[in-house]
Amino acid sequence: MNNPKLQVDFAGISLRTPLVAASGTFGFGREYSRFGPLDDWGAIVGKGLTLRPSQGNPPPRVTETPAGMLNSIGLQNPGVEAFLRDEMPDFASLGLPVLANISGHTVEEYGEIAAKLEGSGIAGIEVNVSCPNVKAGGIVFGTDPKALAAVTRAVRRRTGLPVIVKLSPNVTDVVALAQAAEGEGADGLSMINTLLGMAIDIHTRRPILANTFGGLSGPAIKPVALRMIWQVYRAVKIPILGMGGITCAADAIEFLLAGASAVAVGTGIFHNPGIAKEIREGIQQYIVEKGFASVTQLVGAAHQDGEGKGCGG
Amino acid sequence: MRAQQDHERLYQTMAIIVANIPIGPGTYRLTLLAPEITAAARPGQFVEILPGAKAAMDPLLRRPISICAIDKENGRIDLVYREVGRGTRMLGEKQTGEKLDVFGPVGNGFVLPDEARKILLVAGGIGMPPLYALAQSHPEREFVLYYGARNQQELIMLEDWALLKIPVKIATDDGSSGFKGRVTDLFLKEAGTAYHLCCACGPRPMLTALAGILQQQGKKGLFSLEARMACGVGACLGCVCSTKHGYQRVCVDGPVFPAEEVIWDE
Ligand SMILES: Cc1cc2nc3c(=O)[nH]c(=O)nc-3n(C[C@H](O)[C@H](O)[C@H](O)COP(=O)(O)OP(=O)(O)OC[C@H]3O[C@@H](n4cnc5c(N)ncnc54)[C@H](O)[C@@H]3O)c2cc1C
Ligand SMILES: Cc1cc2nc3c(=O)[nH]c(=O)nc-3n(C[C@H](O)[C@H](O)[C@H](O)COP(=O)(O)O)c2cc1C
Ligand code: FES
Repeated sequence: MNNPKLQVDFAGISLRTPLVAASGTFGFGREYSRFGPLDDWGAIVGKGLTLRPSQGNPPPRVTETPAGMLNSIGLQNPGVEAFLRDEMPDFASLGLPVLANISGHTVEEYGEIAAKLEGSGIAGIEVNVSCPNVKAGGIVFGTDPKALAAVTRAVRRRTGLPVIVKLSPNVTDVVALAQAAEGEGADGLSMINTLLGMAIDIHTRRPILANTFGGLSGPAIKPVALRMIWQVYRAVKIPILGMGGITCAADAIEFLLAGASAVAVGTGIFHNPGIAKEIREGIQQYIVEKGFASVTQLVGAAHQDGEGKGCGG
Repeated sequence: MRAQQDHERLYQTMAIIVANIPIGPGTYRLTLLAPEITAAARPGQFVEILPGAKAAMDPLLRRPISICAIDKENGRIDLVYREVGRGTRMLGEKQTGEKLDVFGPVGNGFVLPDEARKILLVAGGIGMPPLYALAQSHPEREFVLYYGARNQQELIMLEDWALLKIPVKIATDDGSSGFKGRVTDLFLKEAGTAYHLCCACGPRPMLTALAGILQQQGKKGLFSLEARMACGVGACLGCVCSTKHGYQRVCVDGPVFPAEEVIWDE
């Protein structure tokens, strides 16, 4: 099963395949292990954690949209302490690296959660600065380079674990935010989180989601994700975990070519729980057919000219 | 909070369509050859179906459909669905011999206490199918079905209930068959209190009204709920409903909940 050609190192974490289960879409791994072993995955990012337990937003929380979906889960989670006590033992014994995804309402909270995760068996920390659902937090940190720098610094100071900052696409200049994270010692970037959107029921004439707005994910956001990864790859040195609408091997390869060192899949899992196997096999076949020695040779390979910046359209 | 069935195996498979027959207005009975799912299936559980072509990304999400009949000998399950939107209309076009990407069986199902010897079933419209699986799987218990629909045409599977020798009490909105009015009014009028448990599935207003009746009678109920779902396995927390224990996932903590634990006025 283990194929050295598919191994990648991401921000100091060794992945047996470049496929990561995206935060919030894979629980803490248990639910999808009911389909069988998780051999095709390289790592799992757990659902978003906050310092204290959070009940999340009222339902309805999800709705389908053209080639995508909106969610307004609102970070329902047991809080970091209950997570460590009740979930971490099983999460850590799935046989692959597991990462924690953290959110705070204040800069200090981010640091506090990070400190609690130290020594727990977590392989790395993904810092969610972009969850658009929680009115009090998230959005502010992810859209302001100074706030994002402060969060990154707070987490960096409190942990020796790899720190991966997850960027929001709901910004004008994603590069400035990527550079802010890199400048404060982030080991990697995750991108992209969901795009803020909404849907209205024309029969009841009300928004479908109880929270009015939700995060758009799935194939509909793929071109936006690719463009942002392309831009950021050119501007930073730290590796990128690319995600946003990946549903097949060709999608994953596009993300690698744009500059992602590894890729995450979220909504695509809902469509097809067996998606990791299909993508792994597809990447493997592509590498062999095109004569690459390993998947790492694909990373950023679409940037050959080194130029090509500027406006489209 | 962990669902008791968290460890049970789930199967994703390309099920073969054995039949997909119209049985009422816009309503079909779909027979699937899916031996692994069938072997594990219990009444009250459901499957998650991808209605589009394989590798088509739109519609993106699977559709939850209850298991209506379980044929363990032949490895087949029957589903009964009504066309209400894009996904179910796509299902209606499927032909015998085609394959469907399906996973399951999902959910807790109806877990009957031993002392529930006489059980009243209350169905509203397309909520009836999971109650059929329940009755079919428990020949040792006594059932009566209260069945509400808009009109006579929308009443389906009456012959199947007759085969199980289960009495069916009908209510229609327009009075074209049976009692004219709501099924909960018929229940209140005729059911009495000589029963041990009430199992129900149907529109939320029906369940809310019925939960009120049961509470007044001091009776227990097991109700199957619906919610918009994304993952259908308990991972995304997209399908929660309000209960006395906080938000619970309809897909794996349910879809069957004790009526007295659901917070109905939401
Ligand atoms: C546990 C469970 C069991 C069910 N069993 C049956 C059954 O046996 N027979 C049957 O006909 N129907 C059943 N339903 C309802 C069925 O899932 C919906 O009618 C179906 O998803 C509609 O899809 P669509 O594409 O045709 O409609 P659209 O309105 O186009 O669907 C858009 C989105 O909304 C979701 N959605 C729409 N209506 C519902 C609904 N009532 N419940 C949940 N999600 C919905 C769809 O899944 C899809 O994601 C069940 C629902 C649940 C939750
Ligand atoms: C139901 C759902 C829940 C999510 N929860 C989180 C979360 O808790 N933290 C986070 O950083 N991102 C969360 N995300 C965003 C995903 O991790 C991912 O960035 C996004 O969905 C884009 O990838 P995709 O198109 O492959 O799903 C969630 C997405 C979905 C669909
Ligand atoms: S649909 Fe994802 S948790 Fe129920």
